Amino acid sequence: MKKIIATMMCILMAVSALFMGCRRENYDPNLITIGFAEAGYGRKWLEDAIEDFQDIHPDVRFELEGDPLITHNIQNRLETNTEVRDIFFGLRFETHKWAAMGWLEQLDDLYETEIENGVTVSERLEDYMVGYGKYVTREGEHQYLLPWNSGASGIFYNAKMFREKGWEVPETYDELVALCDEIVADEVNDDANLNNDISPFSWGGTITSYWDFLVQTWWIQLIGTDAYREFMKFESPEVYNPTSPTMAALLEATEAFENLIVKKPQNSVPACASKDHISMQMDFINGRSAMVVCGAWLENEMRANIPEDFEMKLMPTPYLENARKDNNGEYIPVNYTVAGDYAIIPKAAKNKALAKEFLVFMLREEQLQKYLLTTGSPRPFEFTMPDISSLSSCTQGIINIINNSVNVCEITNNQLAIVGRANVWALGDIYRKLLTGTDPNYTAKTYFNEAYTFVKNEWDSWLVQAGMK
Amino acid sequence: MRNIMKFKLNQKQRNNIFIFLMLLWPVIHFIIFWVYINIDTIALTFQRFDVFSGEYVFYGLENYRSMIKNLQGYPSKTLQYALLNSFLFFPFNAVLLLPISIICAYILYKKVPGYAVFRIIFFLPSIISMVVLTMVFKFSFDSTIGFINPILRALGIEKIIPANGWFASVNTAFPMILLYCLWAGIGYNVVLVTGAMARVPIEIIESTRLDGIGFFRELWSMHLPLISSTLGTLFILSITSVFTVFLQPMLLTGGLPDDRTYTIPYLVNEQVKGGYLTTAATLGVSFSIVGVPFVMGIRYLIAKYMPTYEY
Repeated sequence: MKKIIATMMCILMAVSALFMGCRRENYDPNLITIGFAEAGYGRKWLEDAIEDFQDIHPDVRFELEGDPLITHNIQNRLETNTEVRDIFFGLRFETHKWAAMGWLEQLDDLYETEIENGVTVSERLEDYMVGYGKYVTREGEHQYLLPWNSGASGIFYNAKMFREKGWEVPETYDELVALCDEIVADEVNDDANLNNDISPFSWGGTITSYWDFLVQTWWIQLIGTDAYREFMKFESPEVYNPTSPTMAALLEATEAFENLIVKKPQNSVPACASKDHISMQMDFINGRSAMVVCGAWLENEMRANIPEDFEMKLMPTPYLENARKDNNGEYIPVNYTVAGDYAIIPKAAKNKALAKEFLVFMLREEQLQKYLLTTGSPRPFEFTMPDISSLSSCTQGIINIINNSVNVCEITNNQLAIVGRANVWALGDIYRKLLTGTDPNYTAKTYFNEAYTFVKNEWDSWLVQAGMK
Repeated sequence: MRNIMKFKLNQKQRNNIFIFLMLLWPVIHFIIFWVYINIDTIALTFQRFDVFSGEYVFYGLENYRSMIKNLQGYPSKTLQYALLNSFLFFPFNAVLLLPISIICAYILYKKVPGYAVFRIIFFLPSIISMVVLTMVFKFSFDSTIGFINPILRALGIEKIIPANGWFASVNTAFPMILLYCLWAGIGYNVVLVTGAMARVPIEIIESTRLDGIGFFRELWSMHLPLISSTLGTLFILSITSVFTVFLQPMLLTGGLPDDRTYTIPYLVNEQVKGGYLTTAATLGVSFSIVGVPFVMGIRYLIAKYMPTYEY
């Protein structure tokens, strides 16, 4: 009996070893494998691009792996060299480590490849994305990521409710404050029925960082993109000095938020601090709040739950009084893009050349237009706008905001930022502290002063952690 | 033929080979997934990730120094709260959850009227995904779509509804997590305890009834001693929850308010998700250094005072 069991064990182990050895698939020079985050944008954009690519290259086959959570699995796959695809389309993540570990293919040659009519990838890339995914590693300074999506963020409003109530979309901060007062004073809020109450905003205590879409936009309205990029270099602890012009502007933007939301609880749906993004968005589409701060994905994310007659739109972020103006005396519109999704080619990919060819193909004018029409979101590359009348009014509005604004993406290749030490909010999410904190005397000013002291104390330690000292 | 005979193994050798083969796989598994991983984790606590070279380099005791600063409340009290909350789960499980589970299990065991309905009520949360369950639980207390607040208003006790909601107010956020754990945790314990009670020999039960033992006396004097080994196991499991509870606070409060509902496992999880592996490793190793003697001590006491009865 023991002999039989022992023999079976040996066979089992041998078969296991055999299968482990056979896991590596045969190399097929005409196969491109793609893993992608199948989230709000679906998969049709990719299937369409593949179909068009195959019209030119009928011999090329594709294998797709759509997974909403693939972003969090990419690192393991790269590290263990298992299930590595030729291309990964992932959502915003700390990708520098992948490059530093030598897991990513350098894309410098891809950026210099001609797409069509003599235009290269780097020439087609939108200015605000220049430098994105360009990392310094032991391999030198190279491009490792290709931007995937762009977008917009800010205040979404219930357009139908605004029409019915006669509320105007505010253009300035003061008008926004006045609008909130008007909403609070609306007759539906006077009766005993709590179920028909309308508050100006709903938000979620677990995702207070969404307020960055508003506050950072206000900040960039005040300082401009050059100063914003300068700040993101984190050159010394003095960048956090609350009396420096850049930080003073951030404080001004934060205090505008503080005065609008923190100090006026009537401007929010009751007990928003206990809500998450789902209940926050439910309040918005159920008409319990007139506005919500979110990113361009909102409509796609809520599509299954949106009532038929519901109409939402993204408003251009109202201007603070001291926002910068152009030569004509007009305020300069700013869009905080929340871009950061990417395409990468792993170093261990089998068909790197073909993968690069496909990525370049996807940047053709016609492909960029198709992508926009399919997903409702543009890629951060320059192309002629197609007719967007077939898209929802919300998406049309978003595209107009992107086209008519100075777009900004939070890009920094500073090592202190890469190791997770330096960022805009040195002491963590300020909104969380202001909105859900337990100290009633804690203000934005307190945070800024504490943050400056903290950074000054920790700066040397940060430099050591980042390998800069 | 004689040469072949030379290689013939005797019974002892054959037994040794058999034992070796049987142990080989689990030992390899143990070496890779326990020994190596733990040594690697401990090594990580003395390292930092170098962004240039892409390697982990020696960093001395800096990770520990940084953690001690955090323990002292600098720059925030998050770690202090996390430590306190994690250890609070032990008395919660031992003093509240387990006794309630025993009572519920006993009610089901005695087949009181409606026991079948209770069984479903108790056990249902154990078979539903925690993500769904926390969502349902959270929505119940939501200020706009929940049904709890309207009931409280109807009862005229709306004053107890916290201004920041149930999951972000200092006085209610952590108790809400405990309430959820109580609601969702009873079912699992009840199944084990009723199973243990059902194994008590009928002869013993009948003899105690002939002695005229009462309802609660039967539980206290007969069942509890006889199922003490099962209770000991549940007690140990309740201690391990100190090291494992992270999904509940993550899904219910997200650490709110002011990071007061963090637990150590949740904090470690956040560090790992953020890519701060060395910080997470330092926290995990330090917590284990404190926690392992605690668990071993409790195990020793349980083995001493809650013996296994053969019947």
